[in-house]
Amino acid sequence: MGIHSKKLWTAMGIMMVIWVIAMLSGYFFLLRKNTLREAEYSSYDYHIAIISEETDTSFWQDVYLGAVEAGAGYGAYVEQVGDGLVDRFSMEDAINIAIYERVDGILLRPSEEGRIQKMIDKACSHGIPVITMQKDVPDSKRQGFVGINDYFLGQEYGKRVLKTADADTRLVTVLFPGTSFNETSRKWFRLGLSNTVPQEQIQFDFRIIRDDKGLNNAEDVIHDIAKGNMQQPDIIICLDEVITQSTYHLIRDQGLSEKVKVIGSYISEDIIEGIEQGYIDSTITIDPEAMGRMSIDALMTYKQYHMVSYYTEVDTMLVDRTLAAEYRREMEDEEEPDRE
Amino acid sequence: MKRNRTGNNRHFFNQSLRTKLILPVMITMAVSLGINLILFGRINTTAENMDQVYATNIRLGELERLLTELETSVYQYLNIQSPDALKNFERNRELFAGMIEEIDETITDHPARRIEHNIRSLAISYLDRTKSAIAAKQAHNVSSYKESFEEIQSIYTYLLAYTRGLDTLRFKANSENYDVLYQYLRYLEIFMTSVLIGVTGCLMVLLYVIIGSFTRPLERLAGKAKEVGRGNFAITLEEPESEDEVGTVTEAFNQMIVSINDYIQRTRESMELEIRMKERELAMESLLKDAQLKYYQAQINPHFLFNTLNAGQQLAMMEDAERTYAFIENMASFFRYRLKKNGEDSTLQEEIGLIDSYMYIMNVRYSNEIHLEKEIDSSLLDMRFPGMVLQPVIENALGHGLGGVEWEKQIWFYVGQKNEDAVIFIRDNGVGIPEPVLRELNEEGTSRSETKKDTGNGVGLFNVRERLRLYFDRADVMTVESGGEGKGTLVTIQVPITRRSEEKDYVQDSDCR
Repeated sequence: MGIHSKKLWTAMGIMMVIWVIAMLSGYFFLLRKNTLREAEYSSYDYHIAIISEETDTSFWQDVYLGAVEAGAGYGAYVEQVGDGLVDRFSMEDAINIAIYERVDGILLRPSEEGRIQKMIDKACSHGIPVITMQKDVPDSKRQGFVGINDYFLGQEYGKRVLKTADADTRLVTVLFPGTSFNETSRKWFRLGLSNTVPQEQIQFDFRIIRDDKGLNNAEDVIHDIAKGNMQQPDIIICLDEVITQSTYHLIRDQGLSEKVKVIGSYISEDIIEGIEQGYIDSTITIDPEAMGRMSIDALMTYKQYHMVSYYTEVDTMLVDRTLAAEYRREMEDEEEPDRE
Repeated sequence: MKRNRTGNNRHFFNQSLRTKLILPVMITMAVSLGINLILFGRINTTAENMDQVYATNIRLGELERLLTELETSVYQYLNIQSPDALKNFERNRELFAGMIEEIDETITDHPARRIEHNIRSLAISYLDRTKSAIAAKQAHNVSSYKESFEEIQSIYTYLLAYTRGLDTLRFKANSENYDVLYQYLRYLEIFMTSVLIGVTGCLMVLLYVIIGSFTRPLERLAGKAKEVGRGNFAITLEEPESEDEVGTVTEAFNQMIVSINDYIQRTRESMELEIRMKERELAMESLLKDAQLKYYQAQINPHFLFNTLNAGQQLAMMEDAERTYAFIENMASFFRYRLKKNGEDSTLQEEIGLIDSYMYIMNVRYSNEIHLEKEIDSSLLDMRFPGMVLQPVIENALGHGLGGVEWEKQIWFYVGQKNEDAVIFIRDNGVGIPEPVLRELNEEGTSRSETKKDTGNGVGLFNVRERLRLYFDRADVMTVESGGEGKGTLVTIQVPITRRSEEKDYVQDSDCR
């Protein structure tokens, strides 16, 4: 044993202890990092079903988020019916499920289907309050409607057409999404639009974009317009997110932005990009989050007082090139926390 | 190093070799075992977690099976109203309701529990509808049970969709969990391997150090033993580092070396003593021979001398010359004693008798110029004393001290006892001895110069001193003092008192004649 043997022993002992601790702490650190964790969750007092056919659009996602956030405030869990299931249910089935699940309320963005009114009535007959969103089913027994009146919406677009149109503007094509604009809706919208644009030289061409098993024919219609199969419009009004995006892409691809102005609907990153690059003139949207929030407010008001305002109007707003930058900043700010 | 190591460490090193070897092995094994147990514990927990996750799938499968059976029995009963189907329905319904009851009814946003809750709600609606359909069938209310059956079928489809959805979700989660578990086991494998490598490494180092701690001292001990084997006993002893077996062996070796050295030392000392004694014997012999030789040079044929002296004595008697007679008689006894006792063992009394004879002769020669004063403790007269010692001192005092003085010559002779010693003072009032000579006389081993000083028939103070030393085996037997020139000389002899009865062995002087 050398003179340093005590030091050697101490050093060896310390090293061994450190090594064991490092091994164990490293192991448990990895364990914590990779542990089979159960998802965190909260409990609620109410179960609210939210039903729409367009669950994938960012507009709808925002509506849903607004409703979820507002619902949490009331102790209500807002669930998209069929969410997480392999099978996709029709709106009728979705309402049925909500009824059999005996939910505390239904927020419904009605589709064009004729049976929707019956289904709304069925839910109401089971004591489940229904609030329609964005589109109304006025003849049903629904407890309230949150959105914008089609006539007012027509007026909003009319105002933008007036601002965009010049002396050469002759034709304005309106592309209705068949699923969300039924005949009544279309009638009120047309009325609102034509009342706002009195000029005789400006003609309106109304076209319905049919939904066929989840795919629409917007591209075909716009393609026809671009190819000159139809009379080329000076302004195209697109009345939903998907049609706006399809139109933007075609206009850009065909290099028609100089000739055709697009007034879109709703906001998505794609649409903002289109506005920034000048392919889309502007977009008219209602605040989706506000609509979700207001729908929950309406439903919970009904649950509390058994009465609620028949029509709650959600303000529209117009996003043009000047506002697009601001919107993008807001979108990026919202994304930041998610990345962490 | 021994002092450096303290406390537990020291304590550990004092353990036996067996303990020192077994203890680290046991500790490292225990550490390794402990770590492995912890890790295995974690594997078990993880495996149990995984079992738990799959267990829900099994229950879900059972639920789905029951639901299908229930649906079949409802269909069969509504269709053919078979009592067996009703029985089946009742039994399945109870089982199904039991399973449904187990599902938590809390509304949550947990991805799986949310679906479970929906299944529970749908199942309750399903059971309600089946109940009413059966009741309607039993009441033969055809339209009612047909409507209920439609509803039942719808709910059944929804339920199946939800159970499959949950199944898919669970399967997805389980797949992810499996991935995690797999990764986890991989980590575990790496950790376990590292732990084993680490523990083995530590154990090896530990054993290397520990085994080294007792083989190194053994190697050093072997080296020392080899040196001793070569005859070098003056090695530095190996300090035992511990109190184990190696320490014991080292200590035993050290003791052996000390004992051997001790024995060698003792043998050497006894040999030295023997040599010293031999030397003393030889020196004494040589001194006596020297004295005898000197005396022989001076001596006359004794027979002739004694015959002559006898003739003179008779002549003096015939002439009535009493003083001459006494003188001759003293002279005869002086010479006789000298001849007889030179170098032999004598007594103090005989020595004093010789002095008396000598002084008589000298006073005749110097016309009673010399006065001798004696003071003698008579109890010491029979003490052993070497012959021909005191007379040469007196002779020296007469020859050197009082030789040429003008004043009255005086010699004081005193014999007394001091403690266990006999003390003899011989003092004269002669010229004294100069300081350098005095120093030389009192110094040890001044034989050569002293020999030079010997004059006439005197044997000399050196010879006297050396004989006293050898006779009494003592160094401080005689001192010579002088107040300086003209201040007289004092010779002090201090010797132990031994009498005939206490006689010990000593080197006998051989008869020189």
